[in-house]
Amino acid sequence: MSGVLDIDRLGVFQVFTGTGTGTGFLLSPTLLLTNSHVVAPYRTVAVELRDKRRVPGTVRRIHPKRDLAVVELAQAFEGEVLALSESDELSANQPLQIIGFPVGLPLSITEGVVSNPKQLLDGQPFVQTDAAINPGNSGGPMLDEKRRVVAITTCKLTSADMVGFGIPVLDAREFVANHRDQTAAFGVVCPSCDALLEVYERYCDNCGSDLEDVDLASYFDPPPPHPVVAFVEGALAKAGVDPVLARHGEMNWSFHSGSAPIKIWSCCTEHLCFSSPLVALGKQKLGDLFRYLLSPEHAPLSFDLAGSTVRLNLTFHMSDVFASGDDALSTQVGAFLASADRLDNYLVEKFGCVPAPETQLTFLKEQATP
Amino acid sequence: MSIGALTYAAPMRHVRPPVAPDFALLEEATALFEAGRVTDAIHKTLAHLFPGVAIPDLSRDPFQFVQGSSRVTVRIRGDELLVTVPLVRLPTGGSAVAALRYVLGTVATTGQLYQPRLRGDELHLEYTDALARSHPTKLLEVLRTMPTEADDRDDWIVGQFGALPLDRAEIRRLAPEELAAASAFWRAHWTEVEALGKESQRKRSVFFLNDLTAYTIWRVRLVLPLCGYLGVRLREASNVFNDAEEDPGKRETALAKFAREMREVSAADLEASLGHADYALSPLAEGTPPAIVRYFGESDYMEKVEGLRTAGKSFEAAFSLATACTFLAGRYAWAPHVEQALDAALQHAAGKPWREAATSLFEETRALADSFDDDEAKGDEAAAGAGEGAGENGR
Repeated sequence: MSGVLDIDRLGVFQVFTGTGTGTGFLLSPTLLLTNSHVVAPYRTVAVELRDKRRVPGTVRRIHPKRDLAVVELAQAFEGEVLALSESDELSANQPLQIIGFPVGLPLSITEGVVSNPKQLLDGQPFVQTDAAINPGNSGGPMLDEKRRVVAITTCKLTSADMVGFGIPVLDAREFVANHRDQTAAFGVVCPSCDALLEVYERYCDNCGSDLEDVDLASYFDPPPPHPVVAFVEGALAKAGVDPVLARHGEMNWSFHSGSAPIKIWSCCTEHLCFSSPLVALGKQKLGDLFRYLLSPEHAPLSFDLAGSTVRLNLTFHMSDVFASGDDALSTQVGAFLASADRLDNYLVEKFGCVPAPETQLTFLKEQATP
Repeated sequence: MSIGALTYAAPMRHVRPPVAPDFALLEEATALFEAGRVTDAIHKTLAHLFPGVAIPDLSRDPFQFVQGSSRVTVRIRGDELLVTVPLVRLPTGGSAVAALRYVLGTVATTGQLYQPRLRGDELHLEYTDALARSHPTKLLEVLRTMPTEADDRDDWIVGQFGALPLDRAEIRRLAPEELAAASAFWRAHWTEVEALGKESQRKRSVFFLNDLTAYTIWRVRLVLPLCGYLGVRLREASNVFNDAEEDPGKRETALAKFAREMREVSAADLEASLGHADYALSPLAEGTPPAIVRYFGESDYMEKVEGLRTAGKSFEAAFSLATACTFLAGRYAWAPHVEQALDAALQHAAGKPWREAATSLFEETRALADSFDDDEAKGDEAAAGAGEGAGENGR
């Protein structure tokens, strides 16, 4: 590989949905290419900037069979637009770099070689590599020595070591070129004939294939959300938080309420947890701080210590979540978010705590500086 | 010192035979809750959880029960349900800060319906919620977990930080002859564990180490009415030495260090951690036939033990079976005939040469597994899997 690669300058970003996270890379400042399995069944997703702010993206085109999707970003992103290689001439043992967000970690690079440039799986060619591929890498670019995209990371064999696959770049080029000619706001490519379907009908207009067999309807009409998801996202919307931007995988949400980082997740079948790592302990007034944190006045909210990080917590039992029409619970969610935003500052000012690494206090102060 | 034979110690702890809860009452409670009759649902839930106990009208009188050292109060205040357990009164001085930090770092946590709260200098575990949100399953979770947590934590906070006990339930101290027997067992047990620890280092077998760490824990829990600080200390230390995911060398070192610490515990400290406590809710899981069959039936485990026997490793085979019996007897509340069979298997193997001990344990445990018919043996596997700790066999 030539030269030192500053990966943070690359136009490669993390994509968040209600089923997981993945990777996408810029085709232009407002267009992102990723896998269809990263975005489906959602029509809007969140894409995270380097400063952790998330921007909505609208899914414009999906190719379920080739596992590709184009996402239009709501604002222009900065970052190097990686060139799609014009050739699929790869050779075995040729070096490859994989860029992405493995297991939710910050942008990372792994290296390997082309194990087989045209491995056939289920009748389709894939670029096989021995470079490490992990959940979260999906949709990211595989680069050659000249930093050109030669494949799009898609999957790996879980039953084997170091056997990963990428979608050959020529398939991606064709998919992107066809998108440029697309006039419809959204379309799904027929798995049999590659015609663009703008609305769902059971049989493809062009080739007559039965699209129910490949469950194409779900791309047009996503299934209704799980009741827990509906509750959380309803409560977030009520509190002024965009649920799309908060999604962080299945039954998992992460976002900021003002300066406070918020995490929401279902830890088991019985509980829905809300937690905000507010601050780290200072060195003074710890007795007073601990007494304050354990005061009954905070109920139903509570605090705990994770190492030296003070967290504000709220727990719901699923029986409450499933009970219909309990507005009081949504109100508690709103109160939790407001308290988290207020308390991180309060604990710093009153008890000498220091902003936790995850809080955006520093970031917000910088933003406020002229 | 080397181990010449298995030893036997009769259980001194008092175990109440399991009482089957009436699940029809729980179904009624759920139906009442869903019909909006929440106070009646709470009453029925308590009746399900405490068979044969008179439940008062909670809006007028609180319902109290005892779980080890914890005194639990359930009451209705306006449109709220409160469940509270006093923990401790804070010590004076710097150790109060350490106690509060411990509580915030260990007792308070996410995903928990109750939380510690400080009222003046008194620490309590508290659950408060609207009556309308007191679904029977939620209430059961609170009543089953919060008192047990309080029972464990209060001793630790008292022992570690010098906090003062707060409204604790009475724990009956051991009679002098019981105490003498308990003390003798305690010394012998930890001396034996130290010797077995050296044996483990020599064998370098994770299978043996898993047996040893399970034996270390469950033999104490089976024999002694351990209810205070030492019980919690045992649980804390076992998080390392009984963790099958942990490095074996680290586990052996932790076990050796802990065995020495326990052997050197003073008579007064040991006495303070022994006593017969009352438990409104059995602290033991209900023993079911599948739990026995999973070990002693046609299982991978018995195949492994049989392999040890045929390979001439009678010591390992006998020790493993004795550990399995000890674990099952110590972890679960059994019907009397099962409890007696496990106890008899341990008694009969004690003092015998290893080969005879292995044969005797193998035959008696296999006979116990065979005594259940197929339907019983298949039963509720979930209950069988509720074991604590680690080890190759889920111990």
